Amino acid sequence: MNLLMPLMQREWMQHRFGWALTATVPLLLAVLLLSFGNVQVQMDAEMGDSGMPPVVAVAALSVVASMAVMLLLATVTSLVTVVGLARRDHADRSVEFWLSLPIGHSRSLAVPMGVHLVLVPLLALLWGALAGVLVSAVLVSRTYGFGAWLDLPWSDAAKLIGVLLTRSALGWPLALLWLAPLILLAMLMFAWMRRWGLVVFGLLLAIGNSPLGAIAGYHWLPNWLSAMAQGAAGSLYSGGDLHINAEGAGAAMELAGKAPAWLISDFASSVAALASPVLLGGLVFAAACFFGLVQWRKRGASVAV
Amino acid sequence: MNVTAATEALVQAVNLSVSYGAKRAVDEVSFTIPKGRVVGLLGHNGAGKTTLMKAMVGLAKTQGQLSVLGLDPVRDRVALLQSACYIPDVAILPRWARVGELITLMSGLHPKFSAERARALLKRTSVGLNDKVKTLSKGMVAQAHLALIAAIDARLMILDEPTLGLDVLSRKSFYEMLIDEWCDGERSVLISTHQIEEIETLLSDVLMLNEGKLVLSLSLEDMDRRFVALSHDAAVADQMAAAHPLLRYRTGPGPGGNAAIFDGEPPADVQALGQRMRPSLVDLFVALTRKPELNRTQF
Repeated sequence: MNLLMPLMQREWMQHRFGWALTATVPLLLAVLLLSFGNVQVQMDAEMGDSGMPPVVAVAALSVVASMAVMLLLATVTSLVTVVGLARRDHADRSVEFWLSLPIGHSRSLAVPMGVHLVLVPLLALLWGALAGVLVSAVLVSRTYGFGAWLDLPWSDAAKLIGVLLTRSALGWPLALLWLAPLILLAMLMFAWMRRWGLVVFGLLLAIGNSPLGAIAGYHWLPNWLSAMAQGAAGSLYSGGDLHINAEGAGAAMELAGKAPAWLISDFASSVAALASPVLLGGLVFAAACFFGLVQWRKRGASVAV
Repeated sequence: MNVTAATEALVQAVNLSVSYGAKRAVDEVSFTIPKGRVVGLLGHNGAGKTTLMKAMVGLAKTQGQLSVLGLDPVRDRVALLQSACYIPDVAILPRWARVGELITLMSGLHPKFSAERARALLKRTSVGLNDKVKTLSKGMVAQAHLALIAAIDARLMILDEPTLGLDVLSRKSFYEMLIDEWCDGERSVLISTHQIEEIETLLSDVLMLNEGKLVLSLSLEDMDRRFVALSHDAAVADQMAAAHPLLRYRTGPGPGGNAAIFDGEPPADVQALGQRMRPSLVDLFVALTRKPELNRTQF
């Protein structure tokens, strides 16, 4: 029996209201503020040097910012949900109902993790791109008029948004691989010690990153954390530059033309960076944490008598 | 209950123990549950009923041997729960869900769940498909939970205090459904409850636990043959006591309202002192599970 869809459906049933709020409230706020607030657009030197017409740059920034905000919000809410995942059904004692169903402990944990950590952020990116188009309509209309927004090079813009979405969607799972040890450790500690687990988790990270940690000889922890953060960031954007020579209306066309090649090379760099002992060690550690979570769930089943 | 061949037993436990740390919740119990039986699991609070049931669905680690539907409950928990359904001690359903959503989820999560049957069972209750669990009373949650579980085409149903919080009509309705519709001579049910009088007529067998130990495991027919109750006058109470009954108790007001339960046939001279009657399950339960020293002080 394929349990994947029903378990995903459970997440949808339980979290759809929260997801809807997370997706719509920031968008409505942005549209309201941009519609009725005081909007002034100032191009900085970098944007001015990009060769893009200002109206295109403003529209592009709207979409990118919208995607980034939605991804950030989805990530934060998903992390909060995932960290409490092992204990979430204990509050209303429905854990005993779920445990009475023929679902393995590993699957019960893995599928919700996949939904919250992978699917929701990716859908948030997509939603962010669509919402960004709406935000750009409001922003460009306020600053340059609605006609300017209609005159934007939409076929090139669609291609660029598609490339950006694809790059982010491909990079996000890789970033999760880098961050998996921290996420799973936080989950495990919350499962074992509830909120105190997060306090201990925070203290461990803080001490490891402080001079006290260095004195105690914990040099490896800040180095490890730094490598993980860099790996995660590099998974989303590994630093490949996209040079364009054209100016004005041709800039967007040139950018759209070069973007697919950039996507491939930049993603290839992110994939190449996976060949790292830090990542390998982290994944082994994450697997151990997941095993611990499964054991906790098994043990929790018998202790919750 | 132990006479059925092992191959026909849906549940077989041999020297089964379950411990929580130093505390032994179930202590070396051995029993079998053949197919087609309705078994009552009786015991005081803390006797080990819930732990034993959890062990039977793989939610507690055990020592000794335990086979349920021919499977190891811990190792084969997922496979086992496809053919055995289980209601934990409290009717707990996720508070965020609507009843209809739970039916949808169960349809996807349980291969032997019938959504149609669940809807039909729910129609007999006051619970609606659009009702959110968090808006239901405790009794209504129990009704919804029972309807969901009874819609599973399982071979074994394990019910831990299934009617807790239900009114008398709902309890009667549930037990009628259970016996008339769910039980088909092949399936077995294990029910734990403190409302012994209500289920006595439904049971074919009884298991009694006392402080983790199995003090009785037999069919009700055997129970009637093995245990004898004698009603008697207060005037012969001392002679009855001298015959060492399991329990002496009052059956009603007045000097004639006394009775004593014996394990086995009492001597003929003692039988002549009273009138033979069938001991109720409640009285037998009290006789077998209360502390012996209370036998004297209660009178």
